[in-house]
Amino acid sequence: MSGMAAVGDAPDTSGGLDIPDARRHRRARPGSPDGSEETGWRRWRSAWSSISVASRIGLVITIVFVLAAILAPVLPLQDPLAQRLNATNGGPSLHHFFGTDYLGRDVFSRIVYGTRSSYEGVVVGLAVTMIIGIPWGLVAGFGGTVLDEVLMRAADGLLSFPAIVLALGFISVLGPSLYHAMIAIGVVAAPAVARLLRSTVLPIRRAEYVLVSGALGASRLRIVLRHVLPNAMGPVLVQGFSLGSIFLIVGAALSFLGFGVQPPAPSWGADLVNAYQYFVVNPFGTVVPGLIITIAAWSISAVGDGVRELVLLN
Amino acid sequence: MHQGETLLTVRDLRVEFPARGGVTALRGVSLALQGGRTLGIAGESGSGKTTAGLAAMGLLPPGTRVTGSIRLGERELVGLPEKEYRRVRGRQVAMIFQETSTALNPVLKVGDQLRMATRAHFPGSKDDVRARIVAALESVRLTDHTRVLRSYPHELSGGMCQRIVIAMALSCGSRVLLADEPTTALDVSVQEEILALLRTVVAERQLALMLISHDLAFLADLCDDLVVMYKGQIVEAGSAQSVISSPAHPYTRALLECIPSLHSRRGTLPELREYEAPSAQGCGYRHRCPWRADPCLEAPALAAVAASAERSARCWRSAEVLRQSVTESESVV
Amino acid sequence: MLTTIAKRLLTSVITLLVCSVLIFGYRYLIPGGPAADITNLAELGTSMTKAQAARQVQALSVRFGLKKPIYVQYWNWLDGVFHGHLGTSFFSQAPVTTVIGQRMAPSFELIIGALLVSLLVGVPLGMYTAIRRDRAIGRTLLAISGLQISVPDFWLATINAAVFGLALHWFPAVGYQPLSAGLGPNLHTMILPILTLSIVPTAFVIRHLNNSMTQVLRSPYVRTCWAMGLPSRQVYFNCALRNAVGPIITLIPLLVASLLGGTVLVEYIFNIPGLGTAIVTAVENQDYPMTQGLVLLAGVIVAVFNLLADLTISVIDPRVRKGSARISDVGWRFGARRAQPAIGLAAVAEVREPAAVREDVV
Repeated sequence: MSGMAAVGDAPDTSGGLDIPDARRHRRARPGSPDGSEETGWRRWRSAWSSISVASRIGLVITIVFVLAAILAPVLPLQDPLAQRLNATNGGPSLHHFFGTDYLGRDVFSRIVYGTRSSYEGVVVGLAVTMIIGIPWGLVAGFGGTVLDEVLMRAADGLLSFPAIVLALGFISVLGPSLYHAMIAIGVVAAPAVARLLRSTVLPIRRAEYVLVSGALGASRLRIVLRHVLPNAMGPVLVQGFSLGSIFLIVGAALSFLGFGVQPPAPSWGADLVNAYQYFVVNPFGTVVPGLIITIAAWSISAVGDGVRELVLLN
Repeated sequence: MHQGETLLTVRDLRVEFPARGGVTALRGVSLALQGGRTLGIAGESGSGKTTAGLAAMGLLPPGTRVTGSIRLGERELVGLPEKEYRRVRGRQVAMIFQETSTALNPVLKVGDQLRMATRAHFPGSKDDVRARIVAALESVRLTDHTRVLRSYPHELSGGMCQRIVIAMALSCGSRVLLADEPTTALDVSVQEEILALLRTVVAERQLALMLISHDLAFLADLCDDLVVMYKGQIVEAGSAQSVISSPAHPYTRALLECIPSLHSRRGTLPELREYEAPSAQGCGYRHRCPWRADPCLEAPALAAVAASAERSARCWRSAEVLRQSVTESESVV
Repeated sequence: MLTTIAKRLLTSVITLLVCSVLIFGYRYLIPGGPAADITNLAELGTSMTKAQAARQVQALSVRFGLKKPIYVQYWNWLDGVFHGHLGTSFFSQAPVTTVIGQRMAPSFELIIGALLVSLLVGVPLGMYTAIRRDRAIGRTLLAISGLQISVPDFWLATINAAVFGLALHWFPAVGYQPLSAGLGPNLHTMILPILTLSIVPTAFVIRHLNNSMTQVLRSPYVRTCWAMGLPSRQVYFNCALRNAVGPIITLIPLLVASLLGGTVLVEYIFNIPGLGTAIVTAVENQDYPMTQGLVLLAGVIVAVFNLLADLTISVIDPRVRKGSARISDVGWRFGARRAQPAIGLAAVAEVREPAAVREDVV
């Protein structure tokens, strides 16, 4: 009479109904009265365990890279600029872990030093994006409908542009340098942040609007800012990580074209294009910088995914 | 087709979801649906009432463990392979839900959707199919067929959309209809209309209707029989009139107290602090029960009340509860 | 519906105007303004004394109308644009429009080719990952597409060119044969670039479609289809796919933007004489009219695609067609947040829903 429903092959026909999920019912943990407030280090610990494995790996890798960037000068590395013209395009060896490039420079130390320009670029780009994007979004969210429309149309216009093309436009004016490149990218990405912030702020503002009307006016607005912003920042923070990942790659792309970091400074993108010229002689050299870029970009984006989980849980 | 022919029988149905740790949504539920009669399933969210309906339809997410028996006529539904279930759904048993206008595809005309559903079960000529659809629309009192068939869902009101979904079930030939909170999303006046409509359709076509709701007042109006669920179990069952006028289980009493009436002040259910997993020992309701006593540490079975085969309750003290309810209802009158 | 079209058109025009101001204006960002590039131009070629250079600059400034007030310059420029004059390239002394005309064909082929490949491959795969998301293969494909987005496309391009071109000699690593030389030779040089260019957009399509399809499959109306016993093929194709078409259409402008950026890198690596290499050369040589013209062209192309997409939605979605909803209400752009667009190549992720962080329903 009884049978087991062999539902392994069936499509998910439950239609997204709210079926009780054991995960949502957290049992109180010993040591904390209702399990939801944990102090200090416990909080980090539970944050760590709630994110996925991929995010944890990403976080570790990013931290390693950032540390490498900061500590590069004091690490026991070879001089990234020292040329050894009699030992060019060598493969990996004990002396040179990743081999040497076309000028005989140690690739490993160039990669390590390259973290500096890459991450610096990301930071510059993100700073520009946030500085431009956050006020933009706030004003659009809190301003009147006309202001909102105008600002959002401008945002749409800018958003549809291919980022690289616009960045090239900026560089043609400002001249090639990592900072110019990343400022350009930052400007291009700002409307995305503005849009996001505005859409999170808008519903809140509409809810508060009723209370504000007739009541306290400006001071209330300040309170709203103080309460609204922390909540609205969650999605923006998540987006920041996605953008960071993108910026890393775009920065490398611009260096690849010769418009970002200028030679002979170590740069993953520039080193890649140089190594590519000598692919036939030293194929390994083309693999390394690209792989490093991929890993770095992926880890930033993985951290972003983890942050998104945390934001959702809170 | 006789009056009261049993169309759907559920026996000792257990449903367990694979989510972390495993959540048991239904712990042994048995009930029966008869043609021409309406069975109401009452309970809070989380009681398992919706899950029972989905289980009968085979619409639970993949990986769910279902044991027990669901018999539709001669056919056993538990363990039925998906391909065959598809022939059962719509044709023998159909389910309608709370969403009204979103229950229909916004980019397709209503007529096309009705046609698609009907043809899946009655692949006849265009005229035959159209005849079925028109008959179904008549049953739900949508007389302006041509206009309705040509319209898109967003052009119709919520009430009309709900009627159309009911018509879809009828057009597919179902004799068993499961309705999960069908009117919750509608205006009160429209609720009344749909209620009346369901009453008529059940009578005309001798359907077996299972009405799932948290709203006891709503169920009181329409249902012949009533079942009250709590934490995946049936805690009381009987004819709707008798259960509501004189409940035999403390939970039913508490639910009734929540309904505003002219006579008593509105009561509230004691608040649940957090989800308490159904415990293996003891009555699941005892934490909130004003009648709890020592025997309650052992889980009661669903037993007949007052030597009547028609009523049952899952409570050690059901006889006392019943007596109390009867006294109170007499004093009100 | 006509009002929707009119409104959309107006929006496009305003957007383009804003962009044009930006494009025109950034030249004035640098200290010294366009006079500085005149100086560069003047110093191209022969060396001259300081005084001679100064006189050159003066002459050129007058010739290029730089002495007039800025809004007049803008107006003149805009006027010229409408008449098809985008200026003269500093570098080659040829009209910008001529250069664009010459170099358009290869880029066009690249972009359209990659667009088609990404749609033809991405749409079925995207649907498949949504339908079979409970199976391992569905999840694997999705994970792979996630990785595809993290990988720098220019690196992939070099690897492709290196492996299939230099190492295996299946296709040339550099070089281009126009269609006039025959379809065969043309494809021989273009297949590798087209496939390379399409890698990231394909991943984008897969993720976007996976997202929209999943949301559609969870919707109440699909549940009605299941509850009424429709066979799966009908549910997926008749019921669900119709609702997934919209997102595909709104995706195309994003893809085009992504491809416009990507083509710059791919052309550079494969040495294809298209608009991508044109802009790189222009920037290297500080050839402003050329850069300006190309950036403007990019903006116009994307704006046109955006407009077309919105207009198509107005026509095919009955809710918008009958005027009871606006395009932005209809929710065709859902899921864009998750599908981060081609890295380094496109406008960054667009979020159009009010609930910016949407929780996944179990």
